[in-house]
Amino acid sequence: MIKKIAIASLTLVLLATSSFAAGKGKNKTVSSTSTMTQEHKDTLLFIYQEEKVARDVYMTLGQYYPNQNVYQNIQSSEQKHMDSAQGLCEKYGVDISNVDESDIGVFVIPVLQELYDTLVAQGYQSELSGLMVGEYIELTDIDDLEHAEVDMPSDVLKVFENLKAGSYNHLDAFRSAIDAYSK
Amino acid sequence: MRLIIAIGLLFSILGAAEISLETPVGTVKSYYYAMNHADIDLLEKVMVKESFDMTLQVWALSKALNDKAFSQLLKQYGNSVEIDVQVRDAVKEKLQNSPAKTITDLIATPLGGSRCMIRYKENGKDKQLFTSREQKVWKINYKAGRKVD
Repeated sequence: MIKKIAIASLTLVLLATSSFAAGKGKNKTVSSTSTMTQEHKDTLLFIYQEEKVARDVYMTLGQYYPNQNVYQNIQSSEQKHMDSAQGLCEKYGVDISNVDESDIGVFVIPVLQELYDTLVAQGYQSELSGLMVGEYIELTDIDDLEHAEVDMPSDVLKVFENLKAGSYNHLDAFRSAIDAYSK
Repeated sequence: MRLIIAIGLLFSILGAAEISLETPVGTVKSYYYAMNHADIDLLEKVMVKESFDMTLQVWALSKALNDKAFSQLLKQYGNSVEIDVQVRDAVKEKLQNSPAKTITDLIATPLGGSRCMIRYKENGKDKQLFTSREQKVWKINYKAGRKVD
C-alpha cells in the first residue's frame, strides 16, 4: 500500500513537471511550411543534442539496473532517434561537427550536463525512481517535439511525428514497468 | 570609514571586471560569475530569454523531482511573477549550496559575424558555450551553435 501511494505520488510529480499535463496530447494538429528557416536549423541542432541526453541516461541506468530490460530495449531506439535527427541536420546542411556523441554521459554544453547529472542522480535513488525518470524523459521529449514541429517543413514534420510515436511507445513501456513494479 | 569605502570600491571594481558582455569571452566569464555568486538577475542579463528559461528549469528540476508542491510551481513557470520569483529563489538557493566553478583556457571561434563559440575548461573538463550578438552585447544562446551570415 505504501509503495502504491509512493508510486502515485511520484507519478503526480512527474506529470506536474511536464507540460504534457497541460493538455497536450497525441492528436494535436500542426501546421507545416516548405521553408527551412535559420531558426528551424538552430532547433534541429539543439534537438539532436537533446536526444543524446535521453540515450545516455538510459544507457547509464541500464548498466546500473541490469535486470530492468526496459532500458536495454529503449536505448537502441533512442540511438535511432539520434540518427533521425542527424539525418535531418545533414539534409539541411546543419553542421553538427561541434557535437561529440562518443562519450556516454559527457556533454560539453553545461546545461545538458546538468540535465543528465540530475536525471541519473534521481534514477540512482531506486529502481522505481529510475523508471519514473524514463517516464519523465519521454513526456518531456513529446512536449519538446510538439513545440519544435510548429511551422517546420513537411518532411521534418514527418520525422518528428515518427519520433513522437516512438516516444509514446517508450512511455507505455515505462508505465508498464512501473505498474509491474507496484504489483 | 575611508578604509571601508575603499575596500567596498575595490570589490565593486573587481566585480565589475568580471561582468562584461562586450565580447563573447567576457559574456562566458560573466555567466560563471553570475552562477558562482548565485546572481539570478545577472544571469538573466547574460543569456537570451529562451536559454535563461531553460537553464532555470533544468537547475530547478532536482528539487521538482522530489517536491510535489514545487513541481506544480515549476509547471507554471513563466505564467506569473510570483511563481517566477519562487522558482528563481529555489535556483538561487541551489547555486548558493553548489561549489564554485573555475574556468580556464577560453578560446573564441567565430560562427559568422553575429555568433561565436567559446571552448574552455570548467574545473579541468572540456566545455563549450554558444553566444549570439544581441544589439550591442553578446549573450549566451544555446541554439546559436551553427555558423550563420
